[in-house]
Amino acid sequence: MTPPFVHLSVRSVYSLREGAIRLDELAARTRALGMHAVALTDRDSLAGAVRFTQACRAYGIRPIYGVRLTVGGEGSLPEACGRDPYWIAPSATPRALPFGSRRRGPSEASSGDPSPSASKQSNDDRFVITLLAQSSQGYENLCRLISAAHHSGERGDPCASLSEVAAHSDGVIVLLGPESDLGRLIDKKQPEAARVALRRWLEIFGFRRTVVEVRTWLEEGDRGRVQRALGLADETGVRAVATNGARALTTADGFLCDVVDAMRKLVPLAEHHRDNRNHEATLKSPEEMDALFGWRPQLLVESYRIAEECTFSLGLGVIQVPRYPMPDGLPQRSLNELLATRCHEGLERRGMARTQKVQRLLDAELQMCARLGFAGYFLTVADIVQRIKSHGIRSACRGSAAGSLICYLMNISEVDPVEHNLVFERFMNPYRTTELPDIDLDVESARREEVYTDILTHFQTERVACVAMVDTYRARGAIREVGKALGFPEGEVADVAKSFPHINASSIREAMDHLPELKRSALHRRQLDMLFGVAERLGGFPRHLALHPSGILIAPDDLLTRTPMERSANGFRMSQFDKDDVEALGLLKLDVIGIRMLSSMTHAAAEVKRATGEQIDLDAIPRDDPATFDLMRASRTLGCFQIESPGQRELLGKLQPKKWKDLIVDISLFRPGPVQSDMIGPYLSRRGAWARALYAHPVMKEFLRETFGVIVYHEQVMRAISAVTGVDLGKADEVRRALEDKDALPDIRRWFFEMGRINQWRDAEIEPVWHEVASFAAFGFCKAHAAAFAVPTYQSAWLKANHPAAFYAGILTHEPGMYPRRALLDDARHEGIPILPLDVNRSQPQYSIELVHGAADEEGCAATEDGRIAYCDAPSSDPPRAPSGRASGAPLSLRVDDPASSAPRISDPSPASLASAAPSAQERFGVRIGLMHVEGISQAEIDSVVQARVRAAFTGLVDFCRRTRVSRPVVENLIHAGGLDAFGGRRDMLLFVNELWDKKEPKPEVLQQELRMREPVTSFGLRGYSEAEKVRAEVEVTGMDVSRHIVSFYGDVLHALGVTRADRLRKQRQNARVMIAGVKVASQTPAVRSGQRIIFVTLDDGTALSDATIFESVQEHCAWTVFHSWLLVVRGTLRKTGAGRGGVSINCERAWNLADLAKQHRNGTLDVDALWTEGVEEIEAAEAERRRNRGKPAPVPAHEHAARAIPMPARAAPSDGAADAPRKLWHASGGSAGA
Amino acid sequence: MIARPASMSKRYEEPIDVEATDGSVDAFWWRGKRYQVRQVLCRWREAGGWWTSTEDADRPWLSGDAREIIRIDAVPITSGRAPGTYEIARDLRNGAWTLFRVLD
Repeated sequence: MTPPFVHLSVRSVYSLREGAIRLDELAARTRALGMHAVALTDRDSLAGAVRFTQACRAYGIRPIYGVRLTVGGEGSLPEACGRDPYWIAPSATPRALPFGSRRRGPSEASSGDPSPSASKQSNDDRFVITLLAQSSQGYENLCRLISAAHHSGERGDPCASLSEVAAHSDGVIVLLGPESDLGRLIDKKQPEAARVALRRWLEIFGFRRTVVEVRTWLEEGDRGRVQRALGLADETGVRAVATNGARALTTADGFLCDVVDAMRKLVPLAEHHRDNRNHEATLKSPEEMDALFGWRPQLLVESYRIAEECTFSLGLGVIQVPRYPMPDGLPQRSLNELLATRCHEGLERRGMARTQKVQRLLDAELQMCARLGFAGYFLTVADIVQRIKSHGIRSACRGSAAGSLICYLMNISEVDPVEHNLVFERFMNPYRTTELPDIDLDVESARREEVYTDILTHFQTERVACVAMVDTYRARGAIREVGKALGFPEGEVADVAKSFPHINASSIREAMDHLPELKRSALHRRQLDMLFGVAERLGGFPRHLALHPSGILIAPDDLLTRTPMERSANGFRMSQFDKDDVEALGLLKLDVIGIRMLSSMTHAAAEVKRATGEQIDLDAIPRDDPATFDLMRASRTLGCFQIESPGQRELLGKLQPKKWKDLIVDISLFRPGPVQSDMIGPYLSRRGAWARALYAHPVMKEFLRETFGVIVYHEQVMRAISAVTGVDLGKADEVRRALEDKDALPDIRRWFFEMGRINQWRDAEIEPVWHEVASFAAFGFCKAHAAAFAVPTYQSAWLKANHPAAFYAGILTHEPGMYPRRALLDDARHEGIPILPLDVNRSQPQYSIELVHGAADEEGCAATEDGRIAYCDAPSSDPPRAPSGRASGAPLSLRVDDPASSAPRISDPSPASLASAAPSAQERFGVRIGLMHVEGISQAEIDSVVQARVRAAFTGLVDFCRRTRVSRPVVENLIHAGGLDAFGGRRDMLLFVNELWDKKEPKPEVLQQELRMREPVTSFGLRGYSEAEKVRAEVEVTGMDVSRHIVSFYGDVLHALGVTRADRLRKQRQNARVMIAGVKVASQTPAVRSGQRIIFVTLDDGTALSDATIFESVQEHCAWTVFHSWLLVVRGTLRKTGAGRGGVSINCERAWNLADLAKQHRNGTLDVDALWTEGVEEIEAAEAERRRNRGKPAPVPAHEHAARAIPMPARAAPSDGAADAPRKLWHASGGSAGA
Repeated sequence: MIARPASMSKRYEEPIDVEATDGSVDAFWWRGKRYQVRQVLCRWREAGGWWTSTEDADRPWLSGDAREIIRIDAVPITSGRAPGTYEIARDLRNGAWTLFRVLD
């Protein structure tokens, strides 16, 4: 009879780089082997606890919670004060920082060591004990101990002190195994010392909760160790139990342990590096355990007994509402009353009349809130919003919370739900008791960390913390690390890794077949097999716990009773649980999301104030500004929030918004569903009164009138359901959600009709309503969401319409949207905003506005009738070289600026110096390029320029070098890009710098001496930069073609090729073979389910953006060029996408580097016909073949750049081997392989 | 820590035949000679080395080369040769026995 057994020592994948057991597999196998319970004991972590609980529940076994805790030797760590591991008395070491603040303060920066007295412990001082929670007190103690260990140790190297363990021993059982101090002493055959150690543990935990843990992985010497340990246990009467220290599920998974060990130690796999000599550390069956310890069965039975003593169960699914401390001076009342009072105060503050309707709605919400017990949550969030605003940080509420009147009255949101006819049940639904109302807060991205720090330090330590995000292995990372572990050559492995798109490691095998470049790898087939086979198994293994960028936990009381904490990389205290875990635990979370557009708008308003003195209050601007709606109707919304994509601009053109509510409709309709199912057409025709608004039933008129009878919003669906069936809006929302499942429709229909009949409706009346509801419920959008979004959307458009220069200054500085900086600049040019180039005397650190006199230049751009490009600008050939005036031995001289004649002196234009706030007809504001994007410039250098300038303007190159601390490469960049054009010719100055500045980073004093020696200096008389060279320099240094669109220089070669302008593409017919050209704006290789790789690329030719798709069949010809070129010409066939709604994409056939073609054109070697005919025969033959076989051509994937393009990184590393691309100025996203 | 014997040892890897009753080894045949087991000193398991595997096996990392090794005092049954310490290994995948090492 096999004794019952429970594994009490198990390391899952949440023991980062130590454990290799997945939690669902753990539960499944435990069950399959006939065991009824299992413990989870990850190293210094309970991060897996929630998923462990869920997995166990799914398999019907009981979870036991434990941890393998790293403990530091006695005396090497300071004593913890009291029972709270966070707060240490000020007299102790500088570790006593509030947990929420940055880890390294100025006092610590020099030593680099968090605490002078915490010695760098050698690993010999440390040992590992296993702790198991018996009760909720025990679980709480585990949380506190783990948090203490992470707080004390270096990040990533947790270690608790013995005193901390002693202080948190209630309700905890300790297992003293081979890695404990006891185990080590036993191994070293030091019985006396072992006895002392054991006695110490007994003092802390007592006889009932101290257990000697024996284990054998069938290694040499195990028998002796086990015997000695048991001898000691018997002698002292201490309990003894057997475990198997499981790290892998079965022996077949043993190799995973070898690999993670090598990865952890950063060494290649070799016998002498290994922790374990074999693969026996698995979840063995009771029979296998019996084979090991059957000679003393009490060891196995004891595991069962201990399991019975551990009765703690982690409660899931019960909402824990945060409590809220009553403000001082107010009588002790319930939170509900406090909330009600504050709401009524809000009514007055908002100037809302207390009509019957308003009162009724408010009462209903407050009652619901009281019933669900959420008052504390609202009060807490309102406090947080108030604090954010008091710091002058712009914020906006997002999501369905905008539908709540409480939120509006508490100043959490800025959308009046009464005015917009919103429904709060969409946000707070009584039927969804296990789901929490989510309030999301957008804040200025640039000040997001400030918000975090404020929240974490203001609220008591225990109640607020950040949330973790589990970073798991992706294909590239897994391949790289496994390659290292296997000892393969690093370069080869890196090449292989780069070929993979950004997919999960478990998809490696699938993707492999689609990567022909792997054939060229120097690694053998066998090696590749092993590399991929092993790496694939790492898919889903956590790599590390990162900080979730936006989630903040708000708990009712001490978070440490529920969750262990770690410290994130920037010092924020972070729960080890991720957002799903936290939700399962019922803890409320506030999402604080950094939005760059908010920072942009703040910047714009600040610039207006600085330049004109006008104070803009964006929250108080009129919502019916004609200029703003003109802008939207004309689709001039590039750069604006939410409405800048090509698809959105097209929709705006159709919808022609006139009023605020039209904007809400626009935001609601711009999604694949409504677009594809053609909701827009009927809406437009009814709005235009070309079709009568039809209502399925008169009763629907009340809430469908605003959208002319078309169902657009979730709220309308809810109202329709409620009207027919008589159920309340909360239940109606449940039904609405259920409608998304097509399979459930018949059942819902039955219910709908039944309820309708009970509600006195005739079937003939019910039918049309049902039809509407069933067809459109899935496509509706939450109006509260849309209304919330409409606020910053409108504000950004208003800024663009009324303060365009400031608007561009804002978005160029913060780059909030999908378009790269140079596209924003191009848009500014099209809007007639003067662009003022880099100037060391005028450029601010960020983009700024300046008053400019005179008309702005217009760019001429002619086109032939069929849309082919014929730019009027000068061809790309350079003007002839001017004769060099440099004779050998001639003294150097530079033009020294005469202050009287040069450009106006700089300084911060104070309001007084600019007499009128509004520019006159001859004056307008232009955007001055900022210093921030100059290649290589540092903040210190920017500061030195600004500070030097305050005293006096720069008068020359020499003066600039002398008075600032700018390094040589940056000075050269500034010269190159024209920042010092006022002081001389660029080539002259560069040569001067080259002669003068021998060292790369000279000491200022040395440089000054040299400068003095060289004065006065003369010009070499070298020729100036051509326009093309200027633009190229601008691109190299700032990433933008400032003076002119770069493609405009290629007019003649584009004309010769017969390239079609991007803005004329739509006029071409389907399947036409065309050529498009432009700067590469973005490329994407999204992960496609079939594993096939499709490359999307977007080009900008100055007239519009155009999109091309590169399928596998032509990638061999095009992929390399597309990935490595910046200026492209693409030939392909035109496909209309988006169900004929005007979207266009080119199915690429061939791609060329535009600069190469331009060179050929200059040399007279460009063969235009060859380019048009290359490969056409094979392609057409293949297409015909395909059509014969399948009957129809392959579907065209909708080009997603509009919906999914991601903003360009401000600066990317220069790409290797790109002949003409000065820097990597495009964004390669979503799994670009090889880019 | 695994304490390796400090004395000299020579590594073989030659197949042997084993006489065993009820799982315990009585004797083994190596190079035609019979060795009588006097005492089992210790036994352990080893697995690994799969990363350098040159086998043609499909996915060698899964099967590994798990072995159980038994260190024994044994006497060759011929002409009064001296007893010695031998390590014999049983391949856990296919049950094959080899002479792993001879220690002095």
